[in-house]
Amino acid sequence: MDLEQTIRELAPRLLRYCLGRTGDRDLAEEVAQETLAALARRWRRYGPPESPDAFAFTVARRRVFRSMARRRLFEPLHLVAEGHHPDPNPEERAMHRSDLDQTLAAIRRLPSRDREALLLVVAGGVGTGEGARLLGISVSALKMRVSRARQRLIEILENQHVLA
Amino acid sequence: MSSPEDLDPPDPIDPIDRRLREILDAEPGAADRIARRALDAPPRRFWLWRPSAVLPLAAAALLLVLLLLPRPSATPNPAAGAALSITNVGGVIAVRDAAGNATIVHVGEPAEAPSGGQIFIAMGEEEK
Repeated sequence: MDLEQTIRELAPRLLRYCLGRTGDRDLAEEVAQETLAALARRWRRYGPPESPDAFAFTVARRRVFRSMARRRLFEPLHLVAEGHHPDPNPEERAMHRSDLDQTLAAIRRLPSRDREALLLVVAGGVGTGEGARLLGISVSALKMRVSRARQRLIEILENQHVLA
Repeated sequence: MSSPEDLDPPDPIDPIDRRLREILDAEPGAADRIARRALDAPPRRFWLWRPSAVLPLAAAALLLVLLLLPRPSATPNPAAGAALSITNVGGVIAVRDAAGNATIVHVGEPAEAPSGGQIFIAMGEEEK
């Protein structure tokens, strides 16, 4: 196993997972980069972890959770500091919504456990065995959650014509 | 150690999975950029110097100190210093302790006012 090759292979998968979880491109990049840096430090100091995937996604899940909690805590202060700008009207908002925005909104509408399973397996490309261990559930339970989330996502996105 | 599930051949990619990955794929070059930065990141210094580690520790230490500081008592404490003086003005009786804290112990008719001895007994001392 080679550190550089592992990190280059993990980077796009982590980025997709973090974007799905945070819904924010900048925050996703920040969390994914911190996660990969943590993996690199661990690798150089103690050697490669048994499973780089499990290590990276465990760290990423924790960091996403912390970042989202921090954001929820400080967001009201940012709104006050920067001045609150009212949202554009619904028509304008609909015109500017891209496939990414609609997909992220659809992902947010999934139940949290199903969403986590879908993002780990589909966006993050984590194997079902590894994913089940990460979430502390059985492989069949993980497959069921992914399948349910996929089905629900298709329904939401088809209604919005994103999958057309 | 890989489990049997990990050794299973991967399922063929569902079209919705492929579409989801395409949509979630960040701008071109973003993955390369973060991979390069992660590889070039300098080793982290001693963790205790990070603000995120120092601030909660400092807050916890401050809280502990505040909790352990003795709080001034609002009532005279005979055990600590005994009441120094008892003042009776028209039936209103006040007791002042060694720290100078005054407490009104009785408001009423002068005839109903307790004696100094009764007040000491109520405060935990033997009648003198």
